Amino acid sequence: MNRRRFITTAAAAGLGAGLFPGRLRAAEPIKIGVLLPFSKAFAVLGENTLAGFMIGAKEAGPEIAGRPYTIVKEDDTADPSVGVSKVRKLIEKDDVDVIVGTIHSGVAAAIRNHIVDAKRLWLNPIATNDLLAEQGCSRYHFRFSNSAWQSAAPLGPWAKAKLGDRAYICVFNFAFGQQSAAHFKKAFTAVGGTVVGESFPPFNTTNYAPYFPAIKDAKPQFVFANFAGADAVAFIKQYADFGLKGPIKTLGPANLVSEDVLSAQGDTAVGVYSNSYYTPSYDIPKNRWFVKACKDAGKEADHFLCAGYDTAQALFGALRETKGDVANKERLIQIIADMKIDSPRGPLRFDPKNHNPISDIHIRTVQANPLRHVVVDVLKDVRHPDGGCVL
Amino acid sequence: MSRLPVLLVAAVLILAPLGVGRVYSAYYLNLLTWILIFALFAAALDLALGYGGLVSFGHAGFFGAGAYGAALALRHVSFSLWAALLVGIAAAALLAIVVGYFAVHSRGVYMAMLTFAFAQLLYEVAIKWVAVTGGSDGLPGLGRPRVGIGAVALDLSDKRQMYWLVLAFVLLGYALARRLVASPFGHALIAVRESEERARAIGIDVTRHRRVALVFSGALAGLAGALFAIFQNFVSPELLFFALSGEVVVIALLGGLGTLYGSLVGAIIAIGLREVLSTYTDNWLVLLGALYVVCVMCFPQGLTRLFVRAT
Amino acid sequence: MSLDAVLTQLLMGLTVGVNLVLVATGLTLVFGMMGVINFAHSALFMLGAYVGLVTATRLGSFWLGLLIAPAVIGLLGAATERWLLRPLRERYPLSHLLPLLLTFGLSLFFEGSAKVIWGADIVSLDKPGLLGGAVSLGRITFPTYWLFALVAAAVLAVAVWLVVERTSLGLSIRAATQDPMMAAVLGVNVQRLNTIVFALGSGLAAAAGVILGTMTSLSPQMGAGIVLDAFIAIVIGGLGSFTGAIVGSLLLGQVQSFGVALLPAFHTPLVFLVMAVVLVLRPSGLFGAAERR
Repeated sequence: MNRRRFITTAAAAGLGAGLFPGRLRAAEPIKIGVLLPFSKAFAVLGENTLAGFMIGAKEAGPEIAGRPYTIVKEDDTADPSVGVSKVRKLIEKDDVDVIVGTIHSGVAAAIRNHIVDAKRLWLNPIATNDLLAEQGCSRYHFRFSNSAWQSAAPLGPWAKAKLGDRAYICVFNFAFGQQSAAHFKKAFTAVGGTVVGESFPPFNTTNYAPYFPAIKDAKPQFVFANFAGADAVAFIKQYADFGLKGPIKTLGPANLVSEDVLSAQGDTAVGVYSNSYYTPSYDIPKNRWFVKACKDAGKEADHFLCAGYDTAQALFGALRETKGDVANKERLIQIIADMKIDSPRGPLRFDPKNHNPISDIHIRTVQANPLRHVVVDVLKDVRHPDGGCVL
Repeated sequence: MSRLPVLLVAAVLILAPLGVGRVYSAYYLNLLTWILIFALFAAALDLALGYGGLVSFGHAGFFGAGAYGAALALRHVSFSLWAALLVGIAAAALLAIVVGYFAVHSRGVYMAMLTFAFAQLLYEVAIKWVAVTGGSDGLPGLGRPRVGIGAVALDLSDKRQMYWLVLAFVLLGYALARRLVASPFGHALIAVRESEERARAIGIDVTRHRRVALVFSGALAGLAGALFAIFQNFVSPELLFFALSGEVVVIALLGGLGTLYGSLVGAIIAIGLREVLSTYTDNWLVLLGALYVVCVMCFPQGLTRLFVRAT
Repeated sequence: MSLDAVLTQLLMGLTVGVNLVLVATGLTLVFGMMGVINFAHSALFMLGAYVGLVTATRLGSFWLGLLIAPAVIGLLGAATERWLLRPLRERYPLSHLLPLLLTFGLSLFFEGSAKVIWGADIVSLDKPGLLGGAVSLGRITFPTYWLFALVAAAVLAVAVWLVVERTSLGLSIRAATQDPMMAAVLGVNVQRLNTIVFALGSGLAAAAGVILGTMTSLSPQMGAGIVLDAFIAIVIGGLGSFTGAIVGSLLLGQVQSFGVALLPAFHTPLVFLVMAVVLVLRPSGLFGAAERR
C-alpha cells in the first residue's frame, strides 16, 4: 500500500470515527507501525526486512476477518534519539496497535521502555540485544531473529569439534561485536578451546592490514570474526588478499557473509563458515516457496527477509484468530506465545520464559558457482539461556 | 530584539501544551520538547562560538557529559531530578575546565579539532567501559525522577508536565545567557572576539575570558544534555559522537551566530524538519541537504537575521 | 616485538598511511588555497568511486574508470565552486563557517542522491585482472593491487607537489595563498584559480575513491570514516602544508598500525589522543606555523 492511500484511508477512518462514534469501530483499520532504518548505513537491511514483512502482508490479504489494516512506516535512521521520537509518533499521533521494529540494537534498547510503558505489542524482527531476553525482557516483546548469544555461542562447541582448538577473535568494537565475542569465548573455552588473541577494530574501519600480522603470528586454526555491512566486505576481502584465508579458517555470525554483503565479497567469501537461523538454499517446501516469493518481490531471499516475513506471519496469524480484534493485547500475546510458525527456516516458536525465538541454527559454508551458502550442520532448537527474565 | 516578540514567543511556548489532544497530538509536544532542548544546546554553543569566537567542534562532549552525568546520578547517587541536573551540569563544566585549559591557546580549525578530540575520547570510553556506561547500547530505562515538595509534585510521565519542566529550564538557560552577554564580561568577550590585540591593549585578560566563556557554554550544554537524558529516558554514546557536535554547529549557523535566539529557529529546521520530512520520504537526506545549501546561499547570516540584528 | 615483526607492522602501517595520503592531497590542496574545509570531500570521494564503477562496468576497463571519474567529479567540483562557493566568498570573504555549512549541506545532498541513483546496496568494484594476484615479501603475502595503490599515491602526491612548486599555475596558487590581494594586483585571476584548485581537489577525491573503493566496497556512506581520518592527519601535519599532510598521513598510519599491535583491545582512541597531544604541544600542527603565516 502506498503512503497516499494510507493517508486517505486513515483520514477517512478518522472522520468516520468522529461522526459515528462506536458504530464504525469494527471497520476502523488495524494500525501497524513499522519502525526500521531506511536511510544511511542500515538502509538496505531496513528495506529487506520490510520487503519480507510485505510478502507476509500480501499473503494475508488486505483485510483480516473483514477488518482492513494500515501500515505506517517510519525511518529510525539507526539513531536511538530518532528512534525514540519516531516511536512516540507511532504511539501518540498514529495510535498504532502494534510496532514492528527494529534492527540497530542501540535503538531497540532506547525504545524498549517507551513501547512497554504504552503497552503496545512489540514484534522485533532483527535487533539482537541479549538484554531483551534477560532483565530487559517484556511480555509485549517478541523477537524473530536471534539473540547475540544464539548468534555466537553455538559456534563454540561446533568449532572445537570441527575446526580445531586454537581460535583468534576479531570483532567490531560495538555492543553486538563485544557480546558475540564474549559468548563465543565462554562457549569455546568451556569445551577446552583456547583463545590465542583478540582484537577489536572500530566501526567503519577501511583497512584491516594492521590486524593481520598478529592473527598470523598467533597461529590459530580459525578466526571468529563479527563484522557487518561495509566492514564485513572489507575484512573478508582483505583477509583473502593478504593470503590468510587459505591456512586460517573464518567463522562468525550470519551477518559476516550474509546476502547483503556476499555479492560484494565475491569469491573471497568462499569457505567462510557462519551461523544463521535462515539459509536461502535450505531445501524444504516452505523455503522453496519463500525464495520464489522474494524473487517475485524483486529481492534475493536472506535472513532479514525471512525474519520480516515471520513477523508478518505471527502478527496476521494472531489477528486472524482474534477476528481482527486488537484491543485485547493479552490475548494476542498469548496466541503468539503459543504459536508454532511454519517459517522458511523450519519450525519457529517462542520460549515461554522470555519470548525469544527457538528454532534450528544452521552452520553454513559459502560455495562458489553459484555463490551461495550451503548448510553443513543443523543444531536443533537452540534457545537463549535463562538470564533473569521475568515476563 | 525588543521585548514584545520575545514575550510573544515565550507565551506561545508556555501555552503550547493546551493544544494537545485538541489541535495536535502529544507527539508534536514531544517534538517541541526535543527542539527546545537542542535550541538551548545550540545557544550554549553560540555563547562560545558566536560571542567568544571559540570554534568548538566538540560540544557533543559537554552535552553527552551532562546526559551521562544525569543518568549515572539517577542510577547511583540519588533518584532525584535535582541530583541528576546538578551532577550533569557539574560533569560538563568540569570537562569544559579541562578542555579549556588545553584548547584556549589554539585558534580556528585547530581549536575545533582539539575539542573534537576530547569529545571523541569520551565517546570511546562510553563504548568501551561497558560496566558503567552500558557500551554502545547505552543506559536505557532511567526512570522518571520525582520532582516536588511534599504532596505537590510533577509527574514527568505526563507529556505536558515534562514539557513545562524542560521549558522552564530552557528559558532559565536563555535568561542566564542573555544576562551574561549583556554583562561587562560579555562585552569584554565580544571585544576579544573582534580583536585579541585590541582587547589585550585595553587590559582584558584574553585567555581567562575565553576559558570562562567555554565553562559557561559547557555547563549550559551539560544542562541541555541532562534534560535530554531525562526526557528521552535513556543515554547512548551517540550523544557524545562528533555527528552531534556537527549538528549543533549547523543549528547555530542556520539560526545565525551571535543571536542566541537564532538557535531556536535553527533547531526547528534541523530537528523538526528532518523529523517531518523523514515521515514522508526515505530520501529526506537529499531534501535536507538541498535546504541547507539554499539557506546558506540566501540567508548566509542566519534565518534569524531576517528579524533581528546581532550583537 | 622482533625486528621482523616491527618491519611487517611498519609495512601495514604504510598501507594505512598511503590510503590517507590519497584522500588528504585533495583536501589539503583546497584548504591551502581557499581556506575552506571541504566537508563534501567524502561525498566527492564516494561519487568518484561510483562513476568509476559505472565506467568500468560499461566500458569494461578499470583504467578508463580511473581516468574518467576524476574528470567528471572535477567538473562537478568546478561547478560547485563557480556557482556556490564563489558567490558566498564574494559576499563574505572572511567567513570560514559559511563554506563549512554549505559543503556540509552538499555532502548530505550528494549522499542522498547516490542512494536514489544507485541504491543503498553494498557493491564492489573489481580489481583490474593485471593486478589480481599477490607478491611474496619475505614471510608476508602482499596483494599486487595494494602495491599499485602505494605507487599511485606516491605518483599523485609528487604530481601535486610538482604542480604547486614547479609550474606557473603553482606559482599563481602560492602567490594567491600568501596574499590574494597582491596576487590579483599582479594579474593573477584569483577567481579562476579558485575554481581550478577546487576542481583539482575534487578530481583527486574521485581518484582516491576509485582506488580505495576497489580495496573495500562502494556504498553511499563509504567516505565518512576515511575522510575523517585524513582530516585528522592533515590537522596533525598542519593545515595547508602539503608536507604536513603527507607526514601527518604516514604518521597516523603508523600510530594505527602499532596501536593495533601493541594495544589490541584499546587502540581505537589512540588517534584522537595523538592529535590532542600534538595540538597541545604545537597549536598549529607539526608543519603549520612554519609554512603558513
